[in-house]
Amino acid sequence: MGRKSYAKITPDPDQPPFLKSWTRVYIFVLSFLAFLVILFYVFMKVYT
Amino acid sequence: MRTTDWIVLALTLASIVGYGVYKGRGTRNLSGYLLADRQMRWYTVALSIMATQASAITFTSTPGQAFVDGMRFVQYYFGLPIAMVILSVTAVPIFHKLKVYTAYEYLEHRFDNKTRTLTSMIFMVSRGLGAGMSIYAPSLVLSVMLGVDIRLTSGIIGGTIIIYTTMGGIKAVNWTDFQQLLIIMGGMIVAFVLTIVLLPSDISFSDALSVAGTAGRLNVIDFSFDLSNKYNFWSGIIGGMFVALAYFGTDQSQVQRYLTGQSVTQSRLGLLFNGLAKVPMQFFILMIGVMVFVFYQFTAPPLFFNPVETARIKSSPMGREYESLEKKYQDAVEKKAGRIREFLDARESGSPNEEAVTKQNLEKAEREAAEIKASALGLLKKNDADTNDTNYVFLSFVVKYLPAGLVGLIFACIFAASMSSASGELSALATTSVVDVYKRHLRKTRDEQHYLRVSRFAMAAWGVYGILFAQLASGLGSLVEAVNVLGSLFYGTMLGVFLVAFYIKWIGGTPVFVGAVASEIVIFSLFFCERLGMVSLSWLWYPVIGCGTVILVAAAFQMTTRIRMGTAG
Repeated sequence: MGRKSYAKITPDPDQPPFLKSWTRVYIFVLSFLAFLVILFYVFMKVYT
Repeated sequence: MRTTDWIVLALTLASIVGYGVYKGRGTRNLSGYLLADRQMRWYTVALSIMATQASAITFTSTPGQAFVDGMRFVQYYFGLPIAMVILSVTAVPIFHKLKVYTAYEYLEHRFDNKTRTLTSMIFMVSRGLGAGMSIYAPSLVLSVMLGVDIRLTSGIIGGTIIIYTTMGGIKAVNWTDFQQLLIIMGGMIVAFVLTIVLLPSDISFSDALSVAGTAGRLNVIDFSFDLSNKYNFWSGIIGGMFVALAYFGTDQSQVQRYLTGQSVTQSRLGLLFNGLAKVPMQFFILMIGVMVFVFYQFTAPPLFFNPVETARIKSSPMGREYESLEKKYQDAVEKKAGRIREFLDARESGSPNEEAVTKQNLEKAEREAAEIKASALGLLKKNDADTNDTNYVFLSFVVKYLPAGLVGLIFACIFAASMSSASGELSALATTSVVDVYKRHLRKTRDEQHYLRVSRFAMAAWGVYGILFAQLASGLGSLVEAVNVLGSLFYGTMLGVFLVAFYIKWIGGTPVFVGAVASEIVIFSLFFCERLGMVSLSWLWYPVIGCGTVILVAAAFQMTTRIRMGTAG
């Protein structure tokens, strides 16, 4: 009984801790990553 | 080290123990001891996650790696922020709702007992070796740099951990991790500032970056796709994401950190903060290594950074030859410093021709110095020395050039980093031993106090194991490296099992168990083929392949079983 009820629990995409939707969180994190990559790339090109 | 340094080191270590014992006091039940009663706020969770991941070797080896190989290692962390969002959506709410103590407990709810047992065993084998290495590797480096026996350094690291983890459990681990990361980052910021202050007065920070860039040390981004290249953008974002998913989603030493969160939101915030802070933090640590590199372009570095091996070769019959190379190397570095200044002047004058000529002269001087270094490494090899001195570059700089007090602080950082990662690993091993093995298979119906006593005993026992591993590992020689690599061969399998558990509901326990076994066979075959030179594949791709194998084999097995059952029916 217990096992079946546990097995029904699935990933729970409820409210994220900020930005109100997980799509926005993904976009925010990817933009942050893209920003860092561009920053590092420019930094590398300027001093090489 | 001077007296002031020893005092700073002793006071820092004492404050860690005192703080851990104080914060962990009043723990009276199993949930409090293993999960801090799930009362931790997000910043404690975040810093504890970061401190557990950042081992002492991160702070000794990473600057050394930038010194030797440049900053490309930072790309390894590019997949981590994405992995943190995925885990916040999937793993965190599931683990919280089920109120599990370990990630493997969830697998019994989802699949069956054999899958839980298999994964917890894989974890104990791989993390057990990893935890031993977390104490051994820094103990070795510290013993060499401080000129004391490895038994003393490993005893201090292991003994300190045993005191506060046994008494305060996970609460003590989390709070000391928090304190340790603050000490570490403070020490690193001071070291970074000093690397700039110690540059010659005519060399600005911008000049220093030009020197590093010309020498190829600012190779932060590499977009070329090459499976055999360890660190490029693609291996970092794809392979790095799989490694991070496996490490933070299936490794109890990390899962336990965010299980202590007060709520799903607090745990998620902890993971997301880690995702956002990790890449800039690694960039900063690598930058320290780059600055040390620039510093040594104007001040002759030791020909080899490991002082024990240097002393050994000097007292051998090859000592004279080595000393003559040292002299030549010093002259070559002086010559190179002159060429660098010429290059910087030419660059400032804005004449492209002059810049190209001075750059060529600089490259020639660099080659000359590199040839002398290569000859020295050849001699060291003949003397049976380990010719990798990456771990000693940064500490050698600290000991020689930092003022009294700060040397003690940096060594305290290394001890703190070692303790933060090892304590997290040892407490996770103790939790898995008690919850997934002892309570599940050996003594199922004892009272809470009994399990609490057993947990304290398990914490102490894993601590003693860590110390013994560190003290015996020096006799293992080259096996140590193999032990380190072996730990990374299990991530893909673990991740595959958990991804099936989270997302593919129609696959049951036996197919996923078969998939896990098949995945380990594939990964170990690839590993041995790679060792024998039959394939060339960076280890960052192992988790991707392992994870894919589990999912494909489990799905195929499940479908075959259904068809067979359908035919039989």
